[in-house]
Amino acid sequence: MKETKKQLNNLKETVLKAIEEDKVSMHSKLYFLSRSALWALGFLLTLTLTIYLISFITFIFRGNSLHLLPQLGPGGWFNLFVSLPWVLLLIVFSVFVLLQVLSTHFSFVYKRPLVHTLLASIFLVVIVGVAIAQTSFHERAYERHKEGFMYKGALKDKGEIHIGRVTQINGAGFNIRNREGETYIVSVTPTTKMPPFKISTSTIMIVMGAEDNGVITAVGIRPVQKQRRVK
Amino acid sequence: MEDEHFAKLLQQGDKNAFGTLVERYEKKITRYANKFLYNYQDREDAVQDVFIKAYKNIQSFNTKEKFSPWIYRIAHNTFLNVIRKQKTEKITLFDTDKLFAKQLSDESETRLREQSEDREVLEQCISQLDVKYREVLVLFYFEEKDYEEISDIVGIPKSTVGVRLRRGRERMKQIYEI
Repeated sequence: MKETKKQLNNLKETVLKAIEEDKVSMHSKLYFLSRSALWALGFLLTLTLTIYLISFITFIFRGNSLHLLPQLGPGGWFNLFVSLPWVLLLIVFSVFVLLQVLSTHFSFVYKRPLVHTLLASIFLVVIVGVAIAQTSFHERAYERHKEGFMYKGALKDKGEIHIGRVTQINGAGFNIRNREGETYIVSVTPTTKMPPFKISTSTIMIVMGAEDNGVITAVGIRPVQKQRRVK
Repeated sequence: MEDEHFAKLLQQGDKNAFGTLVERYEKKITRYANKFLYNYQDREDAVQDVFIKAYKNIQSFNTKEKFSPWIYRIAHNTFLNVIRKQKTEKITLFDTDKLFAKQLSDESETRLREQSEDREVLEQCISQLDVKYREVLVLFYFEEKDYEEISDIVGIPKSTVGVRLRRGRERMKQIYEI
């Protein structure tokens, strides 16, 4: 008992002596304010980046009409899988994890079950990201920075997916002019999955099929509802 | 006078106020260290470190809030660092206990506290419990903190405190019966 009391006295004395001798100094209020501000800034920047990337992925998805691919059967699903911007998705995932780590600094986050905060933050970033993609934000940015780091190749035919405006109808199919201004002959075969209406000129189509020497052998064709990014 | 009053005086530059706070908390923090760092040699240094950190960081304390959870949180983090440094016990960053919510009733907390035999069992098998159970059990039974305070100190949801207390009690009874 005596030993414990002595230990406690020693503790108080040691701590107070260290303070008196200026071996320990108090951090200023400004230090904590700056630290909190930096943390909040980091959190906001990460949140903005996550939302921006999600809206950018949505822009690529819509701009390349990737949502139409599942209508073209298993091949469509495969092409959808291949055409997804995997690198961007991986970056979004990493940034989102960073966002979660940064958010644990705030008591309103760590005091709630992880599932709640995770679902709420996924809901928030997806809703805001998709909403931004509905505006002309990315379209304008694309027009301005077509050759820039982010937007270069964002709206470009990939793999077996071709998007273009029908310029001419012929016996065995039709011709399309894609977003780069190149013209392709679309060859329709008896197995081609056709749209439920007659194809006419000026409509924008998404064509799935391998291209060889300017001829696309169509596996499936679907109209692109919104006319965008086609010359 | 309340702790928060002395914390405010210290923030305003009154170093003697810190002496009062050390007096008020040295026994509690030492007891907490003795239970939580049961198997560790550096307990005294760790307790000293807690008060040094409290002094250094006092300007970050919001005097409108309670001082006790604040200093216990410093203690908790300091003690976890001791465990991390020695690498004798595993501390997981992610735990499934934190995932889901379960509404807790005040009744269950009161009922749990009334089971005084738990304290005696815990006393005997404390060193064999995982850190994540030990931290909540020690705070609940020996430091007599409620769920809300433990949630503040450990930095986990209140529902997770309940889950860990329940699982920790089951674990300690298993150890006790062996």
